[in-house]
Amino acid sequence: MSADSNIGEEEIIAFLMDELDEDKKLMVQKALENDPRLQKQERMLADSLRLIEKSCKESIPKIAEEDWSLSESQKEKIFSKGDPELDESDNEINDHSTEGKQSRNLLFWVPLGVAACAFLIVMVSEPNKQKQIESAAIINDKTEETKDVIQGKEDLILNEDIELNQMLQNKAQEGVNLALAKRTTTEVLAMNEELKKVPSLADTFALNDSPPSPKMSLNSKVQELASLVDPKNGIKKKQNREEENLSLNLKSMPPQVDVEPEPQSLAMAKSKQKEGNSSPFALNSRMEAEGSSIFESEPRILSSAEKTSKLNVTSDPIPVPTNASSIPLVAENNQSLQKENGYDLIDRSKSVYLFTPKAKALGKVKIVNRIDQNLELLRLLETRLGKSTLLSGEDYQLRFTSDDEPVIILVGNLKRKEQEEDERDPENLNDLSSYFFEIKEAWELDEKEIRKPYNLNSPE
Amino acid sequence: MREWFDKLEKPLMIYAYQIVHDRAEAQDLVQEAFLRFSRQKDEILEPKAWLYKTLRNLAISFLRKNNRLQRTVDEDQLDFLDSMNRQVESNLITDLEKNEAISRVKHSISLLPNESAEIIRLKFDQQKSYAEISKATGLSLSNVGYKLHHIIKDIAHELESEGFFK
Repeated sequence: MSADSNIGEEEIIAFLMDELDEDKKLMVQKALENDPRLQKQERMLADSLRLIEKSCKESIPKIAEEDWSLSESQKEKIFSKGDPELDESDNEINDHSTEGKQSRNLLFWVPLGVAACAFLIVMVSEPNKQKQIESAAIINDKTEETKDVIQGKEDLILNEDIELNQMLQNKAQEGVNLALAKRTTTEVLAMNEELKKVPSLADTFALNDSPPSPKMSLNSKVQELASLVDPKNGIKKKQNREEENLSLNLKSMPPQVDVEPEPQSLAMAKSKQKEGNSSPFALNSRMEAEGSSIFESEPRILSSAEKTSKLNVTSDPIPVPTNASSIPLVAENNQSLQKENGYDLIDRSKSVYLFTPKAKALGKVKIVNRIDQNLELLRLLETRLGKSTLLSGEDYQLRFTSDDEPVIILVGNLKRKEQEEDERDPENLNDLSSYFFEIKEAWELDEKEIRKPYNLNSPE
Repeated sequence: MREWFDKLEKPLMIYAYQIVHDRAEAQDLVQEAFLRFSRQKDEILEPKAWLYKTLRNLAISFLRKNNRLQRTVDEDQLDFLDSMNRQVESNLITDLEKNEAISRVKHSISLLPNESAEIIRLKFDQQKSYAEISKATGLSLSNVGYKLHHIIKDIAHELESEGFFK
């Protein structure tokens, strides 16, 4: 606006559109003539008015009610490209574009991480599912109970941990299976060992002193029953009660114990048949005799409860033993077994090894002769590997091993047999030295490699 | 940057669409204009004028690349030759710029509110006086003058800032 005439753009526009009265029109006209700046404004406004007039004579495009905006990707591109050149005055814009970058990074990395986790879970869980199927096939009753408990708890676990917990559960079940399998095998071997083993007198006392246990054999129960029976008075009165107790006790025993002791009692009863029916083992003999028909008709293994029930229905009275003391009879029985098995076990051994008193191995030996407790042996491979002949000494050990037999250790004095040169037969024995071994002690190694005294009697 | 984008995103999209008549192309042109603006914004004194001018140049370049502008120019040239009986090439360029200016003004009018657009139409299309416009619209005489002057001033300054008046 001109300072002199108070003429500005609005007056010029009104002048150009002929909207001023005559006085103002003259005044503006006069000002425009004198002021070049106003002249310039007047030209600009006049051109604009002409353009507007021309535009209005043409059709003015109507703006549709649409979304006149760029796509998100285009906006993102604009602001991401503009970041490096933004100055501090555009903090708001800068913050916005940073958020855009962060969101873009999250959009990239989060799905990638989720996909990677899913892949790992699938890779880990696949072999476990296979193991689960395999382990499920071999689950026994106890492991099923354990599984039920674990599965019951598993319901409370979040879905994310199901795979991991399933894997741990499978491992636990495998461990339980292994433990059960190992224990069962151990018990079975122990039972077999017990059948083959010739119990000593000390073992018998230890067995009687020990509290009743599931591992206590049926024979012990019978002995206990027999010891309580009065040989002359009241045997029939007590019989039913004792048989009831026996049946109750047997019922409480685990099934695996019920089955196993039976052959032992029968074997012991067989061995006692030579002694006559006056011993408590006559009970077993009678059971066997009367049950023979039952066993023949029912060859399956009977449970203890069934056996007891069959015993209860037997109407015949049990023969009264003349001597109720069972311990000497057991000793006699053991002795008879030892007479059968004592040195035979040594003679049956496939391999015999010689050890020094300090348990240093000296190699394999061959028993060539045995007279009572004196063994004559040849040390095999003596001339090989730099082995030298041995001097005489005490507490040497001979270890006898054989399949399915316990390891027998004989401790005794070793003495080299003096031989003349003419007596040697180098062709057959490779010129080996002969030794005498006098037995002083005998031991037996159990499954845990623990020594037990071995009652070694001279064979008849 | 963000302020200018929020303020001019829609007008620039409409302007580009009015030139190229293609929505996707208009989006690309506006995006390119803002990208260039983001790179040079420190050197730009009048962002609105700069964005409009850049967008118009981008649109013309696009039309030229697609042989759409050339045909229009040829047609205009033929019409011009027929009507004006031989003129120099510079005049063709002037007419082209004039058409651009008219297009730009039409764009500005299209963005006006309905009341303002109606006042413009009554004044320049129907050649009504302020009093007649006042009567037609119900606005006071001074209010009609005030509104008209502001619209014309704004358009004139936009055209000036965008280089239409050299």
